[in-house]
Formats: sequence, C-alpha cells, structure tokens
Amino acid sequence: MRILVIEDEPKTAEYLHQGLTESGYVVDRAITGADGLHLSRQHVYDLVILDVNLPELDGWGVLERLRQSSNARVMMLTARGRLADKIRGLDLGADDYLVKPFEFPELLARVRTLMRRSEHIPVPQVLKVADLELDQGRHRAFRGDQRIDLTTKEFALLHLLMRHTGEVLSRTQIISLVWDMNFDCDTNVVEVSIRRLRAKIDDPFDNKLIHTLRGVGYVLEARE
Amino acid sequence: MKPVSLSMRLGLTVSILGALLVVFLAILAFFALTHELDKLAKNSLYNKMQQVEHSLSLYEDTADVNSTPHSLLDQVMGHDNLNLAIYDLTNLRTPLLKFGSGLSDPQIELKAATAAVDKISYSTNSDGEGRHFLTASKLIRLKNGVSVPVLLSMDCANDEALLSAYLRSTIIALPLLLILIGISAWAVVQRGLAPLREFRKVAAMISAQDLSHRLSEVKMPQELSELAHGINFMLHRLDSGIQQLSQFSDDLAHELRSPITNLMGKAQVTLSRERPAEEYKAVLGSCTEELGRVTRIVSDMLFLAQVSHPAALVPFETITLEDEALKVIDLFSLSAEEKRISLSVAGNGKTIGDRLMIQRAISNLLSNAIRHCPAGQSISIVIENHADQVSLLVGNPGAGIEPQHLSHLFDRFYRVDTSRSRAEGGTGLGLAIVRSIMSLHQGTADVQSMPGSMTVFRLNFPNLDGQTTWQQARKAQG
Repeated sequence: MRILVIEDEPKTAEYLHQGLTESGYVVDRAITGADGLHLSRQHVYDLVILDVNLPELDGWGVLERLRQSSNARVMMLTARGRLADKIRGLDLGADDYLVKPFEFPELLARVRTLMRRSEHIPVPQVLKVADLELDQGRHRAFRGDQRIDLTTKEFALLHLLMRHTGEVLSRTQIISLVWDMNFDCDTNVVEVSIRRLRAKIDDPFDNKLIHTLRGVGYVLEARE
Repeated sequence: MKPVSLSMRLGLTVSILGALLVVFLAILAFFALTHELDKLAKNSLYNKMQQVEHSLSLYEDTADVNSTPHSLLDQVMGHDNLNLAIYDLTNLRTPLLKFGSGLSDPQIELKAATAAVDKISYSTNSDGEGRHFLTASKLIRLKNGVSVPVLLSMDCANDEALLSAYLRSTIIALPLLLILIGISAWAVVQRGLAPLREFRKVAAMISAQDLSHRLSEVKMPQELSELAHGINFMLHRLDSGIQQLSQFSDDLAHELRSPITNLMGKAQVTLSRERPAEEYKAVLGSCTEELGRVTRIVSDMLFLAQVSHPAALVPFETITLEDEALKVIDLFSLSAEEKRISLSVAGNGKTIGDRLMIQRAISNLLSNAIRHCPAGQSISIVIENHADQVSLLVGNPGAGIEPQHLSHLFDRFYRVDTSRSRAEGGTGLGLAIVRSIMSLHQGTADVQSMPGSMTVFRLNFPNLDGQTTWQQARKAQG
C-alpha cells in the first residue's frame, strides 16, 4: 500500500510520514504541488494525501491534473472547513476531506476506510480477539466460557473496538460512531463507558485487552 | 460638474426666489397703483361732473350758458388739471364754453357723449405734446330740455409723474434689495450649516484607536441634532464593538498562552536531562492532553467564526426537539449517572434548523447543567410550545448564578469562577457557541437563575407553524 503525501508544512509532513509508515504503509513525500504531480506520474499510489494550501500550484490545481491521469484515491487536508470548500473538493474528485486541526487516529481510520472501500471485506458475524468473543447476531459476549452481559451502548462500543482491533480509536471517533454525535462535546462519556466495559471484560481476567493510549485514545488488542 | 457648496446653492436659490418675489410684487404694485389712480381720477371726474350737471340744470338754455358761465367755471376753477368744454348739439365745431387748454380735438368724446343719454362715459387720449388726458363725457339736459354734451377732462400728468417716480425708485432699489437678500440668505445658511463643521471636526478626530469623541447635540438645530444623535449612537456601537473585539483577542491570547506556556515548560523541563522512556511517554501523554485543550479552543473559535458568518446558507430541515434532546441525553446519561443525577425530557416541539448545531447547543447546555448540578438531584429538559416560538429549557438545581454575571454569561471566554471551570476542561466558549447557533436559527438564548435554587437556560426557536405559514404566504404572493 503506497501513499503519497503532498504537504508543504515540514512538521505536518514529517509526522504524517512517520505515523503512516509505522502503520505499515509505504509513504513518499512531496513539498510542492508540481513535485507531487511528477511523483504521481512515476509511481502508482493507492492514496494521495493532498494539502490545499500549497505554494505555486495549490491543492485544487493538483487535484484537477491528478484526476486526468490517475485513479488514485485522494484525501484533501485543509484548514478551511467551509461547506462550499468541501463540496468543491468532492466535486473535483476528492474521495475524502479532512479539516485541520485533526487527530491522527482519525486520519488513520479514514485512510484505512479509503483503502478498504474497494475490497469489501464483510464483517464476520462473530468477532474474536484472544479469548473474547462477540456474537453480533445473538447480541452476546463471551470471555472464554463465561458469558458477559452488556448494555446496548457497551455492546456497540465493544463491537467498534473489536471491529478495529489493533487500531487506536480517539475519543471523538468513538463518540461519533457509538453515540452518533458528530461534534466535539464536552463530556467524559467515553472514559466512563470504557471504565465500565473494562470492569466487565478485563478486570476479572488476567489478560487485559483494552488499552489506553494517553492523549490519543483506546485500542483493543491482545498483547503478550 | 463640480458640485457647488451648499451655502452658495441655498444662497443663490433664496436670492433668485426673493428676486422673483420682489419683481412680482413690484409689478403687482405698479398695476394696482395704475388701477387705483385711474379709479380715483374717474371718481373725481364723476363727482365733478355731478356738480357740473347740477350747475347746468339751473341754466335756462344754451345762450344762458354762453353769457353767464361763472357758476360753471367756479366748479373747475382752482383745479389746474381740469378742462371743461360744453358744446351745442347743433354746433359741435366750437364749444359753448371752454375752460383749460386740454383736448384740441374732442370729436371722439363728443360722439360718445351724444350716443348715450344720461350716461357718463370715459376715455383716455393724448394731445400733440404727449400729455395724457382722461375725459368724461355726458349729455346733460338744461332747464328748457335741450341737451348739451359736456366734456370734462383731466390731465393725468400728476399720476404719471407719481407712477414714473415709483418705477424709478423701484428700479434703483431692486438690485440693492436683491443683493441684500442674497447676502443675508448666504449668511443665514452659513450660520445654519455651522454645525456641519463640528461634524467634520469630530469625524477627523475619530479613528479605530479613539472612538470616544461625540458630537454635542444640544447646540444643534433639530434636524442636525437628530443626525448627530444617529451618528453618536453609531459611534457608540462601533466603540463597544471594537472594545469587545480587542477584549476578545486579548482573552484569546490569554486563553492560549497558559496551555502553550505549560507545554513549553513541560517539554523544556523534560529535555533538560536524560530520563527513562516511561517518563517521556508520560510527558508526551500529558502534552497531548494539553494540546487537545488548545485544539478544542481553536476548533470552537473556528466554529464560532463559521456560525457567525456562514459562507453558504446552511440547509435547514425539520427538527423534532424531543428526539434531539433524547439523543443528547443518551450521550450524557453515563456522566450523569456517575454523579447520581437523573435526566428527563418533557414536552415536544418542532422547529427547522441544522440538526448538528441544535444537538451541539443542547449538549453544551446539558454539560454545563451536569457540571453545576449537585449529586443526587435531577436535571430536566422541558420543551414548551408558545404562539410565536418553541422553547427548550434546561434547568438544574444548584448554587445558581449571581445576577451580575447573567448578562455576560453568553460572552466569549466569560467565566463566573475562573479557576474552577478552566480546571474542569471547559473552553469558555460553550455558551457563546449556543448564542451564535441560536442567532443563526433566528432564535435567542437566555438564562434565569435564582441563587441557591434553580438555574434555567432557555433556547427560543421560531415557531415552525409560523415559519410555514410565512413561507406559504410568500408562495401565495408569488
């Protein structure tokens, strides 16, 4: 999976490069729009992450030219979150649109979604991480042989974490996906929910599955 | 064309109007005078003719007139502008009696006199020297029944002298009068417009740095004082707007400075010596948390800017307030449960708006309510339908808010208890966002608080029914 990052702000480019590389992608960087276009013609990329504010040729121009020759997925990054800008980006053929400031886990999740879009991997009925099992159809959770009773929200949260096992989910993402609230709300609901979920699936057992990454979010995975 | 100065224009206009008026009056006076003089002359001729008629009626016959004309002459004697001529109908060539030098050729008057019996007729004519005469002619009966034509004419020289004197003086006085009118009009206008210079002076002193200057409304004439009042009011609003703006950027810098200083300090302390990896991790974690706060402030600021000046029209949809309140409650129920606070919704109402923004407004109010509600109590959301609006009330028991804070609560970065709410992670923009969202929805947000018992925040949305009927009305109008 090869990603091209076209971003003129060095610090942003640097952490995007590092973060994406560490998540298992091959990442190339371009500082200007012209360089980016040039690179995109030489290699085949699965995804282009494109900043709108670029010197000389801006993101819109790059996108327009890119679309003439390439079918790579394009994610636009911009400081402007205006609806008109978003529509313009999507009209020009961008696949996703992320407004700065954004959280890296969200970017990563969107990258994964974009990469997956073509693959259509069906979510299995029964999710399994270590000895934790979640049966979506029968709405049941098991840790080993022991059945665990979950509330609706706890079930939705656990389902989300297990579906994305190994991926860090930020607080905002969790609120958006479990509670369907798509704005930054001032609440500790995620912390409380995670604590309650832990009390049910982790606390009675030795092998802890839910991990907190301070300042980033939560991840459910089996760590040895 | 270069615009002429206002005082010049007004001065000229007044002068021209004045000139027209004066000329009109002068002409009117001239004609009135002429008419009056004519009437006076006719009157005196008429009276004189009566006297002559009376005297003539005492004469026996025309011979008598010729021989003893004294009593007749007495009538006209002493009036040097009067001429009297009496003729014999049988001989109109030479008069029976003639007094005065006027009218060498009285044929026309004689014809008039003979034509009508017992009737006086007037005519004007002039002699060879250019003198004008007014002549009254009448056929008068003598004692013996014989009628004699009598001509009584009056020299109009005196009247003409009077008229020409009037004309002369008018022609001399008029230009002077006009100049006087022009100058005084100009002066009056100059004086009347003097307050405009005050306007200019104040306008010159005003800049973004100093908006404190005001026009004095007391000395101004009423029209200008209203204008001055309007300008002063505008300046006042500008002034408070600019003060708010500078206060706001001040606050913003202050808000951002403390987390950034914290980050900087923490990073510098951490970097000052070697540490175990765990410690770096902890520092990075805490830095990320602090940065999260900064990010939230920035996002809230961006959101505020976006809501206050929406670039594009936000597409509105019909919103069932109860559903949105329940969704928000769903989100907050765990936090409330932790504090043993119960949440409830009562009533229902619909409005049109942006779902996300309305959720956000309710969420901001609810999160405040939970923060300030004592453990074990209950928070209620009530939706009320009124004739003109739909209100959503979020009420919580608690310490309440002092009255002096109430009017500032919706200001950006305003905090009742500075240290506490910042420590609890608020950005200080929650209620400002609520207010902006409400104004985008053409609604209002307000608060009522009784210290020690209840605090109720209220969102007032325009009534959906009102909206639809309004739209229908617009459609019907075409």
